[in-house]
Amino acid sequence: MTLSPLFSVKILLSKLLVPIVSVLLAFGIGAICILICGANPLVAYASIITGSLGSVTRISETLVKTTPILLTGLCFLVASKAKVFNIGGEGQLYMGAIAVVVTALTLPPLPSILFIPILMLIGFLAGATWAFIPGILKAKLRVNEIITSVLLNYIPILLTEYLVLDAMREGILPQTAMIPSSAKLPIFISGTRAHAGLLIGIASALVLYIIFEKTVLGYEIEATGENAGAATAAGIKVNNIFLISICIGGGLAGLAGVGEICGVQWRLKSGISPGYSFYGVAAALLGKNHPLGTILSSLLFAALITGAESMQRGAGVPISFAYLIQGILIICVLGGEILTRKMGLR
Amino acid sequence: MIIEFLRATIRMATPLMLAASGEAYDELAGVINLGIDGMMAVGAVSAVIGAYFTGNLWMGLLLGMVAGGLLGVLMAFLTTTLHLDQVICGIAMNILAGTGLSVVIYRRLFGTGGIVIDSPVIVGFADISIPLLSDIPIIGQILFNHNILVYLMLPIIIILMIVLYKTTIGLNIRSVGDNPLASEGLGVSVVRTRYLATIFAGIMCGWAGAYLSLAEIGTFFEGMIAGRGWIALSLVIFGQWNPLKILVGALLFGGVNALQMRIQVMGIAIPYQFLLMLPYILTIITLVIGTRRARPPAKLGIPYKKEE
Amino acid sequence: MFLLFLDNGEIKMASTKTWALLAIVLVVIIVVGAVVYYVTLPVEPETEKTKVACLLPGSINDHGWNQAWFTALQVAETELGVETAYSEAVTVADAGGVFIDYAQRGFDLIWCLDFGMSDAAIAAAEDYPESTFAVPWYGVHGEPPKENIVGYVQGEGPTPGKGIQDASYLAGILAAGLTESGIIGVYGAMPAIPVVAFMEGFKIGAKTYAEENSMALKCLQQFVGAWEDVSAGYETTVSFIDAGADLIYCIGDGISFGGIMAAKAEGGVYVIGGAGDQRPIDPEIIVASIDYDIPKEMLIMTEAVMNGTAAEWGSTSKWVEVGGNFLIDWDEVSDIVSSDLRTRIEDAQEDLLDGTIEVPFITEITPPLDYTP
Repeated sequence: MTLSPLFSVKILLSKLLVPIVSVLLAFGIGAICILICGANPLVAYASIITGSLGSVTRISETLVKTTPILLTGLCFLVASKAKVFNIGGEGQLYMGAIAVVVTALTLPPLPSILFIPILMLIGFLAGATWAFIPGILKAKLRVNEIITSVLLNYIPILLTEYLVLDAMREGILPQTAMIPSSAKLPIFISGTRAHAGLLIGIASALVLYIIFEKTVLGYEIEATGENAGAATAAGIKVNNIFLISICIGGGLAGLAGVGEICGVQWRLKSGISPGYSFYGVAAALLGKNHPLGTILSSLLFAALITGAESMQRGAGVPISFAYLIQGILIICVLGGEILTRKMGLR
Repeated sequence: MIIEFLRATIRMATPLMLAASGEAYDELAGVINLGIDGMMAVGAVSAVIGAYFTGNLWMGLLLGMVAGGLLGVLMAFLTTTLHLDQVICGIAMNILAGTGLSVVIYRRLFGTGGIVIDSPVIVGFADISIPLLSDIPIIGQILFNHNILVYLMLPIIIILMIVLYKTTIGLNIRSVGDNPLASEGLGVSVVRTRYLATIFAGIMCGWAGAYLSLAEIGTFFEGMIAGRGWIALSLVIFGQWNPLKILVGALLFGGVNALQMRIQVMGIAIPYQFLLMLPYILTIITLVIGTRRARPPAKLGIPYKKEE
Repeated sequence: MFLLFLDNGEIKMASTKTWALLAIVLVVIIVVGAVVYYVTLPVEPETEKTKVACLLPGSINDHGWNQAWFTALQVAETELGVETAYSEAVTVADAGGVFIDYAQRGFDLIWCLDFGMSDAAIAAAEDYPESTFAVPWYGVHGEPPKENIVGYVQGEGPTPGKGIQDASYLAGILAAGLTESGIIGVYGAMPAIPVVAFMEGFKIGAKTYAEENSMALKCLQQFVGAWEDVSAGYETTVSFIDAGADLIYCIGDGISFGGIMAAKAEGGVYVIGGAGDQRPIDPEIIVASIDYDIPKEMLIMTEAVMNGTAAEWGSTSKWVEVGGNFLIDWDEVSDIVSSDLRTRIEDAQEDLLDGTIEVPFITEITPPLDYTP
């Protein structure tokens, strides 16, 4: 059975159209802002493109950022399908990181083939446990999970600071000892920082896709999200679904922490995540809450951040412009969606 | 000692209260605005600019509010007219305005440093003692010895409560968030109400930011908002969208914050990071103990489309 | 025929596939055009100029650490004719990529200006031996020497790290000498090594003076938790003043500014600046400022790189020969400091320089000072 060629071209066109229209929009609006502020929009935009995709190194940098954004995006996604809004990805990431470092430094160095899966499991469990708190408060006491998850973000971050300055500090710098080399994730583009954590991220997205497409759990989560009342009437234990979905999400954020520790930093430090989880939320929403779509949108955001950050060096544009453009581009990517739909092409 | 602690509590609670009240109005109308941090930053820098160039602190405050209001217009346009996802818009707003626009404006007008003198430093709102009232032992010193922006909080809260619960506008706002379809049917323009609520939230954020920059510091510092927007967001839910309860939450949070500082000063041997965790933990505990189910507006975060 | 118009608050659009195609073509043209334009911008001929870059964790107008390095870059540019560049708000997460970027752009000297970036700098040094990387505290704890890594300290002095606690020692004497209430206060962002050394040196200096003059002295201390939260610095100072302090010593960027504002609001409270030359902020309130002559560090290192002698700076101990530079600039000290006090401090300075006194470099915070004769 073959797909009619017209059908597939139209799909392709409409899928590509959104980012293209968005770029157009963003270029227009951003250019005006940039001109007003005295910089050259052409140079700025071009340096974003070359800064994120212009060389193997730059692409690798983009990929490095994609991993945590993707995983924290999936974290938000899985819970939001049940209409549980987990904005605690940042804290869950740090919990995963802390757990991984403690484990990696306590256990004797095992061979990678054992060590890495163990650490992944620990990181997942740590993140899931931290997400359990807002989950159980919501399920049992009806406490709003947005507020609890946001407030709980600060605790692991402060705990990290305590550990690196005090309890686990090695030497004079505020960081822990380095994890053993068998705990480090392999780098798959040599000479760069691109590490196998990306594969963990993509695999997680695929697993989630399968869960939501093929399994009862996925069905139950989505049903709960659609209409919790109807789901309960149909026999679904809605409270358990809340818990499971937020914990899986927390676990994924914990995996993001694993990625940052075992793939990038190899030690615990303050600041390993400069707010990745917020981009993750945006990526999940932009990916239409679809695991595979989130892969693409995470890539987009990662490219955006990487390119914009390098504008300082490539185009001499100060970093505040980078943030300005990021914000405009995010909005325009959203706007592109709407625009394309209005144009009757989706 | 305790007096200063309570005064500090009130000081710390003020910007939180301002931002959270505006956000409460916005959410009641059905729009969630995560960009509070960014709007506060723009408010802070605009206030400094206004005060610096006109020499008048009130003009600064006004400019801060206007700037916040303009961002509110943008936010309303994106969320209510274009139906873009409110959460992403808020996050984008934070990035755009907080770390982007506010700094860009500041550097454009005041250069990039090198010499300290480049930065505008303004003498901010001074503390005013209310005669007679401030002489009341203890209470007088705690309550009646602040700068004027703090004093304004009381009338503001009263006005906010009255408007929300006793006027038509307040009723409209609340009904639009719960059941926009029905409201529209009753002749209330959902679009207009949401615009008003979002712009109001922006104005309040601008005011909160202006407080931070004008009331104590007298200048703008990149990163000075330090995440207060997220705290304000939590306070909205903590206070169950009720300005008076939000005030209580703000005082609680401000109080614990002021407390942990003083505990440190007393030299108690707890690592200070754990003391810093106190405000967050205590807020959660209070929430758990005190909450009957906090029910958000039914249509919070859902764009309203006429044809549906 | 409108492309888009507003109808009852909704956006509607005349929709045709042609518009879509047009949009795609337009965008492709613009994007390609922009990239081509950028790539064909007249490239500056590869100069023989030495290139120096700084990775700043904060922003260049923070009146503190980052601004000091920004100024130092400008000084290097003027005095040595080097080409300079900087990146602001570099996060621990990004630093690796930024170091690689500068190294690939052929920068000769790259400064790592935050602890969290040290690993990334060392890793980049491995891959890019042509560039020299300046890493804080490198070599102090026996890191293996590398050809292209140099160590620097915040506030260099006769021995690694000596500068910080010595400068604070002097500040402590000054504070104890000036206070009328017998209560002074010190605060910093977080218990990172230099901050702790600052605070401890301050307490030692203050205690020394108190002992000599048989005066009761209390020194309060606090960590604010952030480098930039101006309001928190303000509140901290307020709580110090509330506890009776009339002289504050603060170590941080935005937070010291907040403290200065609080002191100003209160009146009768003085501040010693700990984050570079802060006296210009308010010469009346700030009686003196610890300035660690960052431009001098920059110039020394840059010249070393230009002369090819950078490898000699493989650990911070090289700074021993350079001599102390942690002193208070007496031109910049307020008149309220009596000449007796000045003499006392100058004597202390001498003693520190010739080794008569040694102020220990303390890395763990001790309880607040509470001295009674």
